[in-house]
Amino acid sequence: MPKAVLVDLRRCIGCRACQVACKRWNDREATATQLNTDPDLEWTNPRELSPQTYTYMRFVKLGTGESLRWSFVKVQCNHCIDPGCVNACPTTALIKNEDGSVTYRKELCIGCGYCINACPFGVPTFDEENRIIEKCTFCSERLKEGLEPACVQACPTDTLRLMSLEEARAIAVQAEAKGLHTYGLHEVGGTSWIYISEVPLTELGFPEHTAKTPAGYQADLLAKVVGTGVFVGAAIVAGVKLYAQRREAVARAEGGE
Amino acid sequence: MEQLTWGILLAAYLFVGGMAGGAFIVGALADILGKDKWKVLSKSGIYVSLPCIIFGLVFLILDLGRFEVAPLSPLNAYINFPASIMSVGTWIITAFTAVSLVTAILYFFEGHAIIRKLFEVVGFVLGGSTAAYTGVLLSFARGRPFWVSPYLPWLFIISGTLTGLAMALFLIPIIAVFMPRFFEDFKNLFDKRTEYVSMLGETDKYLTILGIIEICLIVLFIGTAPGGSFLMTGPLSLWFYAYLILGLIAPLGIGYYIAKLDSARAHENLKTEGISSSMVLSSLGSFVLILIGGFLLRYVVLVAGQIII
Repeated sequence: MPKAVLVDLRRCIGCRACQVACKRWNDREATATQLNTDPDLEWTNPRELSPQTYTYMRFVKLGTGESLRWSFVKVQCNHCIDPGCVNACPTTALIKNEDGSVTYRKELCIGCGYCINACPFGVPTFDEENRIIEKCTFCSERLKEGLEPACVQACPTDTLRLMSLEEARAIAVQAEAKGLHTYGLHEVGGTSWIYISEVPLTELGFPEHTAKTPAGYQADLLAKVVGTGVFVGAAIVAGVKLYAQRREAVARAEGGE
Repeated sequence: MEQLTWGILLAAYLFVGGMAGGAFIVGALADILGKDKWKVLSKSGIYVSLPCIIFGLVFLILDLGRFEVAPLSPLNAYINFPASIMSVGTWIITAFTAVSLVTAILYFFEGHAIIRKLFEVVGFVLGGSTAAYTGVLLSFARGRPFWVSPYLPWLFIISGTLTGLAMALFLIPIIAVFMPRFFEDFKNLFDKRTEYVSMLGETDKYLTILGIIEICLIVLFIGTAPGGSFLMTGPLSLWFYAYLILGLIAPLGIGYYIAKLDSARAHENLKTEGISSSMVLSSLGSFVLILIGGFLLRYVVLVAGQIII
């Protein structure tokens, strides 16, 4: 049965326990932190996903002065129900597993980098040293053993909760009915990590996406490409005909003289 | 700045891949629709498409991140067919390379014309698909909003055909001068300078039409793509303007000049030798600019998509 993680941002205190647990479980090296130059994100460190960082916390300042408040957002692979990376991968090195996780098989990978460009959330990164793609695995090896992902287990406030995809989607639907914002319920056809928040996730740095799955999205784009082709083709034919007519008229006029 | 997943090698692949498709389209059309006088252009287009697509494959493979550690891994790219557009493209390019090779062999050894034309029809479709694929590959990348445009595949098809035609015309004198023994008809055409010059005069119109369409498409693409203004003002603007001015506007200007020379040449009372030389030289210059422009277009589009967030 596909699993899901419900991320209820209203409960997050920004302790980064998830970030640390992820590093420990996945044996990721520490990376040098940097002063964040964006004043609204100055506490976000590390600033992005990398081969050594499967997850990180965004510390987003909303409002100013008296109305200033913080929002803490955990970022990792969202494990799409119909993943763009799996769709893009020409070698099936990336696969969607029954437990809901999206994982990587390096023995099949050719290092084309298409998953990096195709992922709607900018998740996969390329490890130059080991020549492999790195990303969050949903701790699929822990799921197999009946354990929670390391980040979920470490979360002290139950911001992160492991459950069935069905249950997570049902809770998210209820949250929407109460006027809360969700992310991953509709976007790109749904993801296995679903966020609930008081502010729209797009205000917290998440990209805006339609509910189209990769196949639907591509069919839509191809239809537009064909439509453009018909339009451009008609314009070319009309242009060439007009040109030929004009040439003929000029030739006739010159002949007449 | 974000790390570039696809850089100069991939831009080179998109460029020569598009040019290979375009050159084959030119070669096939010149043979199927054109009369005997277009035969050399047709051969040139088909001959050049083969090394272009092979170079494209070499650039592509060298760009793959795991080629050094797993040299046979590129063969895996056929597996996820037809779900992955890259896998579809791999099959298309493989089929196109094979058809391009067979057509070139049929031409070189004067094989049966009907069989050759059948291969040309198939190669026309595959060549067009190869050029289109380079654009569709980028358009399908949902994580790069700048590339998500229905104009991009057409821009690459038109640019591929423009650069393919320019390359085919450019190579006629080169082959005639450097390899006259193997390509006698190229030598004969170029030696009878008037025939090559009259070909330049006629193809000038097609180059102009393609150039105008490309300008329309680049305007539509930049005008509608999210972050399109980045190309005009951001760090890539120098290369973008170099493409626009040197790779498109200058060749169109030269094309206009050639058309003037060509109509002057048509008046028999004028001395045509000087005009012919001017036409050849300015055409060759224009072809070089078109080719540089074709590469710059791929480069700026490729890099811009990865650094516009």
